Amino acid sequence: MSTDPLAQKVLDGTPPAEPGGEHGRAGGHGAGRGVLLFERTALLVLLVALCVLFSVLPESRSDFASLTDVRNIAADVVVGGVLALAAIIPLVAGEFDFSIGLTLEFSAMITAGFIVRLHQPLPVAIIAGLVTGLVIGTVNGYLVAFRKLNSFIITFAIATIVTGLVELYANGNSILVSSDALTNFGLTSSLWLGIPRSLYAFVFIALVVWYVLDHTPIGRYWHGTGSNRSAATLVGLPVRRLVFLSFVASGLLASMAGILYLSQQGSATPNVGQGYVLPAYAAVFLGATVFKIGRFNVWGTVVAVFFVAIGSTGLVFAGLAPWVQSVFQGAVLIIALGVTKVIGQRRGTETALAGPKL
Amino acid sequence: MTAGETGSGAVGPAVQEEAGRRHLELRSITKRFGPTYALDGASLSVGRGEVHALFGGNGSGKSTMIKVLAGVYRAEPGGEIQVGDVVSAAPQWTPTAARNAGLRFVHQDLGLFPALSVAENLAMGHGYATSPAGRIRWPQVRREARDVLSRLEIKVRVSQLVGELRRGDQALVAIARALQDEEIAGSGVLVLDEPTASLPEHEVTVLMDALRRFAQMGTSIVYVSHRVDEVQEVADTITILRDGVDILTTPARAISKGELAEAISGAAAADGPAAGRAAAHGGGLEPVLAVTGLAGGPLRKVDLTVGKGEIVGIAGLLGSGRSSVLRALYGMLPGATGRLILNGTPLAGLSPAQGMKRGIGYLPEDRSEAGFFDQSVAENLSASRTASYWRGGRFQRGRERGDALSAISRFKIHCDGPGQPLSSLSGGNQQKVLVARVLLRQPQIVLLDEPTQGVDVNAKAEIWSLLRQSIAESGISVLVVSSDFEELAEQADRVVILARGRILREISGPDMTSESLARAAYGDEEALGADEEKVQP
Repeated sequence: MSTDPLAQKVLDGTPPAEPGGEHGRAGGHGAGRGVLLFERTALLVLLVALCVLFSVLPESRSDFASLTDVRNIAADVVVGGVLALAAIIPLVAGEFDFSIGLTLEFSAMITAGFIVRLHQPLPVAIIAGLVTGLVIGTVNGYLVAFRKLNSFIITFAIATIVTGLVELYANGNSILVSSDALTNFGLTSSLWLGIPRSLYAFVFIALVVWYVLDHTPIGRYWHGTGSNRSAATLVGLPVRRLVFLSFVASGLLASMAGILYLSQQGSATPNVGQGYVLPAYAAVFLGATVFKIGRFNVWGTVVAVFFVAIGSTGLVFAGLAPWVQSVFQGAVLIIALGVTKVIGQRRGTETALAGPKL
Repeated sequence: MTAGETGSGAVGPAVQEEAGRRHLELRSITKRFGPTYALDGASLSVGRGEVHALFGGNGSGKSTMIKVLAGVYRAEPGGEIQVGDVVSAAPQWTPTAARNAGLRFVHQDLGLFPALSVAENLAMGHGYATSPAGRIRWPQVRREARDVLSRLEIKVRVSQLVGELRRGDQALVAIARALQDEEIAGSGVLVLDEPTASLPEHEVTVLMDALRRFAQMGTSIVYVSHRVDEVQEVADTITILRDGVDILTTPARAISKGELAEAISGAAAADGPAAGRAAAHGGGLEPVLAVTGLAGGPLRKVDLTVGKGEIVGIAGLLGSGRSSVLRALYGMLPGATGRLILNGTPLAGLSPAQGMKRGIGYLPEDRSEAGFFDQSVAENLSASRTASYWRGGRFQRGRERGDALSAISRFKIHCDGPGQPLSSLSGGNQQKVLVARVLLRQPQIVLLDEPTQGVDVNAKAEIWSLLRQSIAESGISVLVVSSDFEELAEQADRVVILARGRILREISGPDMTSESLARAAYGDEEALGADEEKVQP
């Protein structure tokens, strides 16, 4: 297809209207831009401030100064971060997927089982783990997109079923992995240019998700589907297929998180997955307050993942009891939603955040 | 409650008389949203018992002013609001203060409960009469409702469900609910925001008469509208807003319709839009779209042909199936059947995606179904052509932005730039974005459902001139549904009258006037015994 000749003609003919020209009132544009830039990067500034604070506080100074601990935090971010990326895509398309935690757990379990119980080579085991995620995503997607069932409830139900399957498969025990190739990759001390290797995996996956969401038509279609479903139908988008694919993608990403979890921990354990879900959603919603305010976005989520990790670990380093972590994460989620709403209202947009309507 | 009330006794008689003459005054009100000034030192002064029209185009600040007056928006410091003797700095004005001062608001969306009776709707506004045990005293509730309605001379039965009333009577019930409190009888201020937006023409006069009556009873009325005719008819005084400033306040008799239209647009209104009308009607043109036996939903075998470059109007009352025709043609009416031929090719089982591919564009009546409001103007404009910006693995944002800029200038969309979210544009400009999105795909035929509803005169003229431009340049055809008979008579080449899912007749040529269309639509509908109108779902 060519560029739109209708529009092109006008482009040649008349100069485009000056932004904020005769009808939009120019009122403190320069100051407005500054405020906007600050709002867009406020979380980043806060993240830096947090790092400085914890490096200065006497209680946490020693931990924060140690390179090993910094690497530990960085490595800790990987599993939760990839899971947050799994949560983003259905959210962008206007749906919730709460089964990602169990998908993580079950994929790790299946991969470990293929290595230990079935004695399959590592690539086969990894593929089995990924297929597990694809299957769960497909079931979710089918029920939500084509059977039109509420994603909130359905993914909870699926997560509950998977909990049972994990129990059945694991029999209540952890499966220890014997593959050095896998576990060496995940070791915090396994570095590449001084950075834990699993962190590269996170960054690579984030790049791919960012590219798909922001630089391919399907990403734009997902945004449209989440923004207004009837308008999406109106402009000819295959809404149901898009919703279905968003769950498949999220299942696949959650299984990647599971395999990374396995490589870091060296074992697959029942009842660990669900604990990653709330921090993942907190990060995604908090991420929507950075860079592109009011929109779920990948780099905002990445910053938020670090913010949540450094915040909650730092609090413990600073000598506070571990329960503070949970309170911190929940509070972050509430504040993130509040901030997006306030900023949205001030700009006169009606919905602060496009996404699932409950 | 305020200093004004306690201090009023000390005010000299001359001042008091002055305050009594002006019932409501807003002085230099400013309201800012981000960098945009919705109101920029605007003032309004309403005399007691006066019908005062607040008139302006989309985005002129009318709605903002009403919301400031209601205490919903907090104005910037500097302005002042005075109702009777009560004076308040504008930022301190609250919904409670507005209510205590006797201000009552009826919004475009009437906020009624269609499934409840008139009496219950009134009781919702000021509380049910109950026995000491908490049981509702129904006879008393009904009696009170009857008293209010008879005081306001509104003729509806209190036991009737509001959903069964005509739209005009529904509006009156909403007004009655607002004015029912004894303490403001004959002394309140009634603010109506676009009260006639969803009323059929013949019910507008009923409302107008009622408003004049309320004014004579001593209630001051602020009437917000962008309709030139109504404002002229009902108002004593008119204040015209443009770009957040009150540019003129004048007695209604002292200004002509042309001057009004000119005043809100800031330029002479387009005159005689029919200049570019296609010379030939119907038969002579090659058909772009021909449909036979279209049925489904309310439709009963509709046959329709649209020629190349032709504008065909569909007129009919609410419930006649006028919107369903367009939905069926675009494949959005479940279970619709019929034979559809587009450019000589028969089409089976249309879906929106297929329809778009074949060159059909559709814009529904309800804007909220069509726009991506949290997304930018540019994204909305490109939404139906997203894939064409995908080249070599990259999304060409620069080109998307360039196209958006040219569309913004071509379609005269007033916004701060392509990146502005759609939701922060005024209603008329949102509509222009959506019309632009349809036309930018270069369709062969566009199906438009009420394309200029809730849009001011100026934007309306612009939308039509853009449609005509597209007809002249690319030979598109237009099938348009409108409840504005004047618009159809002015713009369409011919109009089909739809009632109860059937096409009753076709009107074209010199016979086609707003009166003849109205007579055909209402007359035929009444002849079929379908006068009762249902609330729109």
